[in-house]
Amino acid sequence: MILGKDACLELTNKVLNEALKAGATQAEVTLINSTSYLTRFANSVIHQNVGERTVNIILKTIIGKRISSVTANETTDEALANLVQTGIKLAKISEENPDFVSLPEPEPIPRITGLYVRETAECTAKKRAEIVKGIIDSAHSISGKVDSVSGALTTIANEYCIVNSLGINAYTKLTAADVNVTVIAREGDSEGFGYSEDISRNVKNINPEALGVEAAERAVKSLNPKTLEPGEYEVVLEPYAVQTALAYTAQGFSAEAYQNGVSFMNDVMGKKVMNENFTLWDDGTDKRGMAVPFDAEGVPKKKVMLVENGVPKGLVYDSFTAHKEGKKSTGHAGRFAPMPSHMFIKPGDATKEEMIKETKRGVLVTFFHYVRTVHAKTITITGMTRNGTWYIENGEIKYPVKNLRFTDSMLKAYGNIDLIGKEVKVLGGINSSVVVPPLKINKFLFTGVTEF
Amino acid sequence: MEEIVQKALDTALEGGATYADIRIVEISTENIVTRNARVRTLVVGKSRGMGIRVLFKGAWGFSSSYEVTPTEAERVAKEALKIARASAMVKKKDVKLAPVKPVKDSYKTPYQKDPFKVPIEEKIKLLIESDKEAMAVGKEIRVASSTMQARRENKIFASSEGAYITQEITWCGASQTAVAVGYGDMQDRSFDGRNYNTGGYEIIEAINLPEKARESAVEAIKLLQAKNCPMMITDLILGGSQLALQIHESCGHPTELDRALGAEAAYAGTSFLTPDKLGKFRYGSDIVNLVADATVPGGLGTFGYDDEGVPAQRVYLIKNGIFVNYLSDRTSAGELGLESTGAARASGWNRIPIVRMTNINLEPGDWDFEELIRETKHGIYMETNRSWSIDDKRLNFQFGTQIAYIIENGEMKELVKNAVYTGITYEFWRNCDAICNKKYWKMYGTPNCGKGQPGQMMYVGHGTAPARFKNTRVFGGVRT
Repeated sequence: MILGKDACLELTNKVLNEALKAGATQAEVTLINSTSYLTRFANSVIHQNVGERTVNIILKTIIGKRISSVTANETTDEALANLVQTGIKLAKISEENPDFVSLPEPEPIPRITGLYVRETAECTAKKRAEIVKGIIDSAHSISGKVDSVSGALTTIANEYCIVNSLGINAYTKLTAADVNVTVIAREGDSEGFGYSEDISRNVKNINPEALGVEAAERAVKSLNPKTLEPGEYEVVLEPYAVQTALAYTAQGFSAEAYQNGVSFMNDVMGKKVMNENFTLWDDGTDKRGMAVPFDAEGVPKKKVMLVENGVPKGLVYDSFTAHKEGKKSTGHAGRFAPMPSHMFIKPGDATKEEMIKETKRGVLVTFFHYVRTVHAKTITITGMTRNGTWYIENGEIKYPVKNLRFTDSMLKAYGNIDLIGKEVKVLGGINSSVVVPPLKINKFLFTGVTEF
Repeated sequence: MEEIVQKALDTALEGGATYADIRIVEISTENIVTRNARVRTLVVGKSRGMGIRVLFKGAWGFSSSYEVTPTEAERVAKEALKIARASAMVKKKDVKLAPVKPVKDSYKTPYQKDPFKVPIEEKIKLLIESDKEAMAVGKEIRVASSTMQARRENKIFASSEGAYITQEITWCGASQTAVAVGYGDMQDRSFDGRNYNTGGYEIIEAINLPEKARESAVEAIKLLQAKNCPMMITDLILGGSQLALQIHESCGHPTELDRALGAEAAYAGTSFLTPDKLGKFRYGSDIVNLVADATVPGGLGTFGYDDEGVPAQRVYLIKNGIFVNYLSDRTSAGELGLESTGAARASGWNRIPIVRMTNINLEPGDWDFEELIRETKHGIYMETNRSWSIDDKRLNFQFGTQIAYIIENGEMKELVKNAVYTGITYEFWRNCDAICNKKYWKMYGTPNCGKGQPGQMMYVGHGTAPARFKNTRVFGGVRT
């Protein structure tokens, strides 16, 4: 249920003024009003189906250099008065943060159209069930070996309103429809797994048939996997796997990690440590991704070049980390620290088929599962392959393989990219995304193997 | 409240539901983080709302709202019915609930000192003192950070079967980390971590955080110049907090019945512990006994009733090494014709209860820790988790730890860093040949276990003592 721009601004400004009256030297109020629905399916039936109407109000109170943050999920006068009172009380007793300079100043916010789509906001439970049925039916139509179809379809409509005592009055509303599909195929004792995923501002752009087919084809093709000895191989990473690898790289581009000396960027900034062909940037205003006009402080999103032709060169800032270096925020404030939110990898000119053809001895990876950082300074991460993994030899996919564990430095991997795909995929959520092509990396270390 | 409860249940039943329940939940949270002796985060939050779940035409529907009024209860119940009607469009058979005796009861976490009544100034002072202790150890300490968390959940559960249960669950805890940078490396160290328990501020007072912070900083600096852990197959002794994580990932998750039945296939994954293995599969050696115990005092997963009104239980999951039971809720247990083991938990008013861990505990053995080291000819001791990863059936795992010592001829010798161990779940537990006794047994807490779509963060407990695992593959996690 949308409250509307006027109502949101009125409510947030009311809290803001109360906080200033009560003694705050600066204040910031955030309102997130959300209505979301999620239809979840497994074993080719809908098993969980939920709806949620929620509102969150976050008050940041500043008294000099003392800062507090309080949240509530009620909008009654009593709840809001209590919020202000608690915010002031906590700020008074908090220790001073000498690095704090100021909340951000207002800047013109770009108008981006098409972020809110009525069809998505008003999507019914019946419509979601029909889409899910379409996915399930199309997956089963691929082969009698398709055993079960699982996944989740979300439709969500959110309003974000951020005001501060320096004059920021930011408001936007967003919708998203996103879906992920996992198909399990079965033949005798063998299981094959496949995956697909899509996101759009408009639920009408979700194509159930295409999603069902993509995941089902992978599942059937990955039946009867063989064991591949762990070791160093070439890899072709599908965009789903690239997304996860990037997510574990992202933190290093946060100015906070850099300022604390704990980012890989502390060692490689300005040095050509990645392959010439690798260029990565963050641009929240580019509508090829899940664009948003402003960040969690109401500062407009700015484009930041993170890696250019293999040279890491940029960091993302919120107002706190920017002020520490006498800079301006790049519009990347998160709830607690700045983070890249809309990364793009510059596409190359290879098709996936060409990448496979160029592989002598390698592995085609659909998806990375349960990835964790082993060593942050080298972006050494570990995880499992999932949802379809194949062995490639002399330019041809030979056979599916049992899932492998990898443990390797992504910093080195970005240095070993020899081909980049020309087709990109958008993956993400309502207010963040990556737009990424498949990558071919000529050395990647697999350290273990599982039983399926 | 009773008017709202009645309105919700009446609306659902009048609309044709065969079963309905409502949970009205208020969650208070306090989260303080200091970094380098400055307050980094000071967040106090409150979240209140209701969730209504209906079984209609043999399928589930759920809706929730932050407005807790009779009018909204009627709207939400009607929406839940609509959603259930849509679920029924894509079903194969009707949901069958495992039976439960409806009760009227209440439960409250026992505590000595209410964590929400301790002045925040006092808490901040303690965290800043801890940071300062760590920072004073050496210039290599780049980040010294301390965290304190407290949470209280007041909830009402009422069902159309006649249950009416009120509960107040309180938990808190504190942790710290020291990050050292130097000699071309970066190393982090936190003391044995996972100090989160149900109870009051007495939990935090018992930790002595500043002393632990200093010890962590000393070790973080030492680690900078330590050798990388060598690659070998050896006898591994795991300290309690790392073993807690091992239990969580390799026993807790795979014994969740919803996973075993495929309900989580799209996200967290399935389980190698399929129903055909129940009662016969050798999961571990004879000395391995793992229980799901929601009744143990202080456990982060200790409560009176789960979020379907099923009483807290103590159930063997692994008995003398054999896989004998699942964590279950009424839906998953009903599918196999079993009784619920009381593990349905929802992270808030806006989420449905799903199968979660309660407290998954390894029963103590009979070894003294010192004796265990003495009786290990060649081996390695590892403690405190740094990285964790396991496949989607919970078989192949790889866990990185913060600190390790090589054991030679019954003595802890050289300090090594970036120590990682890896294996296959059942092979690893079958190689467990020694578990320390009660004296070394402790309840650890995991306040951030993620599962489900939409995501749910749950707090669960793990009781354990150090244990030894033969012939385990270990290596240094950084490629050199």
